[in-house]
Amino acid sequence: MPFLLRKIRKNRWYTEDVSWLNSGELQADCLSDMVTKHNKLSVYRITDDKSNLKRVAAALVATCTNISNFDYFLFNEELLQTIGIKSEETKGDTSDESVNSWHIDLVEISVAKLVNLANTASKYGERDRILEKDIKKILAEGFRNGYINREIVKLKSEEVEKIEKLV
Amino acid sequence: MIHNMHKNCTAMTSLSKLDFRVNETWLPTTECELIKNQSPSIYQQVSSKTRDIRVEHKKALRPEGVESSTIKQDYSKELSEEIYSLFKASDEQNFEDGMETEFSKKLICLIKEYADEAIEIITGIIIYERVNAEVATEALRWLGNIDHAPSYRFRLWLLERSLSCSKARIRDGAILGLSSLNDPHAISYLKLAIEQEKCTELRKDMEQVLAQLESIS
Repeated sequence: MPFLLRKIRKNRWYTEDVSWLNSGELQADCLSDMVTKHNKLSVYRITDDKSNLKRVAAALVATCTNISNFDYFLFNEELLQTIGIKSEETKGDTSDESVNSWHIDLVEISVAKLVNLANTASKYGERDRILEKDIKKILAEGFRNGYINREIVKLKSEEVEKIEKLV
Repeated sequence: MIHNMHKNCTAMTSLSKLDFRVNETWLPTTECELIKNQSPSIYQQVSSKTRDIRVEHKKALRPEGVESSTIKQDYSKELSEEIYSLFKASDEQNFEDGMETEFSKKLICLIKEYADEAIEIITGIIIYERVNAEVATEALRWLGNIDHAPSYRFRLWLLERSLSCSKARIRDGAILGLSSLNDPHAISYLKLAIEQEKCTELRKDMEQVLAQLESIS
């Protein structure tokens, strides 16, 4: 079963070392990583072997102004059925056309479903980080192989230059 | 572009004089000295074995007698108000990795304009946790990302020192800043931070940064 990926800030999801948090609870700030638009939540489908994960990460970093680390959580797609969340395959908005084809909108999301998704994904999913130095290498690979269309990346020109030096 | 940034900084200074008034007693004039005398931190434990890079930095960049103490105090007070106001104004902002904001742009501008003066004030704000963790974390991330040689050693010092902050989110900002700086100097500080880290997930992230730095040393 494939995974679904959502870009986050890992430290908003810490449960240890937060003295006021009860066991099993999440910091409310983690919902900043689950901002919906028109009651939809944007995610990307990652293969079972996670072979496309780095490519998705690079494409999403290229939608930012600056190169940075990439924090994400992954959860099994079948969790959607458990929570009762519907999904629609829609085109993503990155500079990598393949990555755009892996985009999925989770739709008709209520507040209860959103919180349930955050809790369930935190409990059964995995959070991880790709450091900035590695992101640069992956972006350079994307430029070199032509996966990423450098004409439409949203990175600032000086950031693009940093990558081009590595290509 | 730099010229424009400097112009913006000047404009911000003028605006802050008009629009912001903060408690003038919030920042002791010798705050960094007080920080160094606090209960044992990672900084103190490691620096007892190594050189005090911050003292060296100050000796190198701020020769004695260049400014009179009165002029310097007034100047620092204005700058303190400006920087503190910038941090407080960003309290409600939702930051995203890799996205420039008004906060990050102004922070970079101030550091490039005032170098170690600005970092000294930012040090007080972050180490004494006078702003929420989200803003402090954001500042630390950008401190590691700025291309500005004159403030480099002081920024490195602050990032290493921030590994001792009480909030896990701020410590995470510190490791991301150190990862961006990519300086093996931080290895000993990171090792000690890993030993003391109680948050399993953060400890793993610290180990990831340590591996990165060890791979270049």
